[in-house]
Parts: sequence; structure tokens; C-alpha cells
Amino acid sequence: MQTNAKLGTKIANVIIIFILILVSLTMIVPFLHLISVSISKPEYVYQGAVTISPKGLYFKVYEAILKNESFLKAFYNSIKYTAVGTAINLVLTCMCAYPLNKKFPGKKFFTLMLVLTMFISGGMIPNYLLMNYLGILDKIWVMVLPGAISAYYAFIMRTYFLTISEEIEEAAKIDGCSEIGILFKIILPLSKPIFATLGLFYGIGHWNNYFGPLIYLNSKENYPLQLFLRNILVQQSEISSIDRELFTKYRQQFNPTQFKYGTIIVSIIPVLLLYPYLQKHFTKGFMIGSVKG
Amino acid sequence: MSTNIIRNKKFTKLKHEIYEAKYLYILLILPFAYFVIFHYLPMYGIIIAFKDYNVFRGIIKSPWVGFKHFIDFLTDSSMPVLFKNTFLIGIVTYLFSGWPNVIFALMLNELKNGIFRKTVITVTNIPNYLSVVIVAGMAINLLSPTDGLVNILLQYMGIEPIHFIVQKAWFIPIYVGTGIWQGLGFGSLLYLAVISNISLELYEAADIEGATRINKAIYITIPHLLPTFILTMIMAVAFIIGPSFEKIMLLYTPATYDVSDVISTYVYRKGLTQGHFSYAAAIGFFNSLLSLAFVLGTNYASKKVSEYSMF
Repeated sequence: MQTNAKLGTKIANVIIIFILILVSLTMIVPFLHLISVSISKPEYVYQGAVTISPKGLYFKVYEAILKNESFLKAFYNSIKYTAVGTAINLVLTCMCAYPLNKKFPGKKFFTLMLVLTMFISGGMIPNYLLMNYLGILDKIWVMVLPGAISAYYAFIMRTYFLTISEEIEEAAKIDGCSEIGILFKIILPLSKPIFATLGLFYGIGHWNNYFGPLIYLNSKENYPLQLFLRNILVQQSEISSIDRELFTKYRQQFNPTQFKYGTIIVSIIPVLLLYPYLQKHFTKGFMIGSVKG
Repeated sequence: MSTNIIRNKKFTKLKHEIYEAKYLYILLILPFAYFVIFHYLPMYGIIIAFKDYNVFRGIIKSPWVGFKHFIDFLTDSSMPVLFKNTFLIGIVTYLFSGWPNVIFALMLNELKNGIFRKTVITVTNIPNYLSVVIVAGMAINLLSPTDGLVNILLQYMGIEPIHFIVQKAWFIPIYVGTGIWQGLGFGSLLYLAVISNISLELYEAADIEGATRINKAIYITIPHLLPTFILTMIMAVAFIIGPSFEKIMLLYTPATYDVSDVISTYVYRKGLTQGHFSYAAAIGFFNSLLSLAFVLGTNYASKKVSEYSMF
């Protein structure tokens, strides 16, 4: 009996480890393949001989990507939209969240106004017509203003503000500090963690956003990275012109697939660099969410 | 006379409260303006669904047509397919959500807290932060019949290359598969957190009684996960009607419209690429009402059944 149970445990262990390795491989192998293809010699890629290790090192593709104007412009635009967008997000969300902990006439109305936006929206077409009417289509404003405050994040921030002791605030009030003074001198310095968390939430949203740019931007010079990626990976509309450009520049045939895969790798590097922070804050984030729910 | 005084008193009190809160109102000016402009004006804009919107006339001056666009849509020949696809994609996604995360968490839980476990968690959480464009773009290119990795491997095994992206039968598996691929690691963290809160004494007591690991998983761990799992699954019903059309837009091709075109992608094509604003707005409005009904219905049902609710 005893040995049987032990044997069973061992077999179970092996099966579990085997499955977990298999699952992990489905996440690692695609990236290994992308890297391998992007740094292999083009002839091997044409033969379809590259799987998960590079064949013949060849880094010209990365040089080509980092010198490609459309890519650089798109990368720059993404950084711009993310930085400006997140800054606006944090300032406005804070301005929205702070009063929600206070008493003022009309608070119920305002709270209801916020909650409703979590469940009802005008929809794609009315939104598009509004941006058109406001005259911000194809401008940076259409990337950073429409999602400026998420009601859900505002409530998370408000909950965080609640944890700051009221006594400190009372003391400051007695000393003649105004509401705005309390916000700047007491609440904000104590709230850096929640700003970091929500900044990452909003930031990754901007960085990964492709649907907004797709419907609101027309000119190529305003495209962010995600639209550039869509054009070379999904639409493939851009790739032939890039191919021609590469050929004239480097007098050597690249495999366009190498350019695509290299671009994916370069695009996820910023996300990978931030990954430990993202993971930390997102885990914390769903804990806040689950405690609340 | 006395009611007047009371009213006056109330009014002075209100005036005083407003004066006291003046800084709060200053803070709220911009957020208030934001919500009015970017959330409530578009809701007002829904009225174009009942009009024949004309770009040159504007929303106000365009003529009213009542429910014409709604009737047109509901009698449109493409309507049954759109409804079928919207529900089918939503339901299949729903059926493959939740339980993979639970199983993954249970398997991770069987491991000792070492480097292997940490590595698996780290690796499987990365896709969570990738954009839908990268995930869909990788899927399309890795499944490509000419130089995609999957077909290279299939050829090694002597199987003819398959052009996955244009085949109707493969659309839902690709859509659902990429979703699981992206969400598995992060989704399991919730259940790992629940497991870590289970009292160790329970397991120790079970050890003394001679329980095997499978016994412990079945009689201790799984029952503790069940409430969270059920709650998540109830809440997820609300979103069956709203499949991620961002991903569908990337993964579908005209060859697979029969199985991949959903209401929201149809709204996009009709409205923004073909310029039938009113018609598309009507469909969009109809879709929002439907999903709102799902959210409210689910919330009501879950309140009745489990005392949990979103609001």
C-alpha cells in the first residue's frame, strides 16, 4: 500500500511537471522562433529550416528596423501618446477621486454620473462623430482625451485615499490648510504607490491601444506602434514597400518575415523591461478589485 | 410663513455648504466636463440611430426616421449570421474560460515553492501584457502556410501545410486558443491566491487521516476554490454577448466572415468604412441594449442565487 501510494505520487508529479513544461513551452517557443528567424541568414529562412535556434547569424535586419523611418516614427508616437496620455489620466483621475471622499452638495449626482459610464456608452459611431465634431480627429488629443478618466480606476484611487488617516487631515485643517493644500501637501505625498499602480494600468493601455488609433487617425505619420505592427503583421499592406526599400538600401534580399519578427521583438522589449513592475502592480490591482467585489 | 423660514434656512445652509466645498468644485470642473463631453454627449448622439444622419446637415437638422434603421437591420439577410456568430463565439469563449485557470493553479499548487514553479509562473504571465495586435499578428504569422512555424513542424511530421487563417473551421479555435494562451498564467494567479489562504491545518489533519494528494486536492483545495470559480463564471455570463471584436477585426478575413463576423465588426464596416452612420449607430445601439440586458440580468440572477453582485 505504502509503496503504491508513493509510486502514485511520483507518477502524478512527473505528469504535472510534464504538462507544466509543455504549457510553458507554448509560451517560450514562439518567441524563440521569432528571435531565431530574425537573426538567421535569409537563405535558411526561405528554406523554412529555422525553428527554435538561429542558423547563421545575421543582424542586418535589426539595423534595418532601427533605421526604418515608419517604425521609428510609430515608436516615437507610441511613447508620446503613452507619456502625455498617462500624465493626463493621473491628474484628472486624482482630481475626480479626491472629492469623492468629501461631503459636498451634488455628490450623489456626480457619483451616479460616474457609475453609469461603467455600463453605458454611446458606442462607436456616436463617439466617432463627436471626435469629428470636436475637430480632434487625427490629432494627439483624440489619443489622450477620450479615455482620460476611467470611473473604475477613480474608485480604486478613492478607496486608497480613504486609507490615509483622517486625523492627519483634520490636524492640517485646524492649522489652516485648505482642501487643495491638504491634497497637495498630505494626500499626494502619501499616495505614490497608487499613482504607480494606476500609472502602469493606464500606461499599458495606451501603449497597447490599437482600436482607438485605427478609427480616429488617418495620416500615417500619426500612427502609433500598434497600427504599424498591424499593417505589417496582419494587413501585410506595408511589407512590400518596406521590402523594396530594404532591397535598394542594403542591396541584399531580406526575407520580409525576418523584418516582421524583428519588429515584434523590438516592440515587446519595452514591455519586457517593465514586466517585473507590471506583474507586481497588476497582481496588487486585482487584489484591490477582488476585495472590492 | 414658517415653511418659508425653514426653506430660507435650508437655502442658507446649502449656500454655506457649497461655499465650504468651493475647492472641491474647482477640482471637479475638469472631470465633470470630461464626463459630459466624452461620455454623455455620445449617449445623446445615439439619436442619430432614429434619424437619417447627413454629414452636411449635422445631427440636429437631419430628418427623423423613427425605427426605420432598426427594422432594416432586423430584416437584413446578414442579421441571422451576425447573431449566430456573436452568440457562438461568446459561448465557446465562455465554455473555455475559468476552468483552464483553475486546473493550471491546481497543478502549480502541487509543486514545491521553488525555482521551477516561479519560472513557470513568470513565463506564463508574460503574454498577459502583450497587445492584441502582437498576439493576433504572431498567431497569423506562425500559422502561415508558407513560412509559419506550425506548418514547418507539420511538414516535419509529413502533414500537408494548412492555411489556417482562411479556413472557417479554424477561426473559433484560433480565437479561443489565443485567448487561453494570453490569459492562462495571469488568470490562475487569482486561484493561487485563494489556495494560499486555505488553512494549513486542514491539510495536516488530512495527512494524519492518511489522505493522498489527490484526496486533498478533491476534498480540500477544490471546494475552497469553488466559490471564487462560481462567482467568476456567473459574472462572465454578462460578457458573452460582447466578444473581443478588436481581436476579431485582426483575425478575420473575408473568407471567414461566415463564422467570424459579429455585430460589432459589422457596425465598424457599415459605419466607418462605408459611411452608413445612422444605420450602424442603430445596430450599435441595439447591441449595447442587448449586452446591458445581459449584464443586468446576470447581476440580478447572481444576487438571487449567491448574494454576490457587481453593484
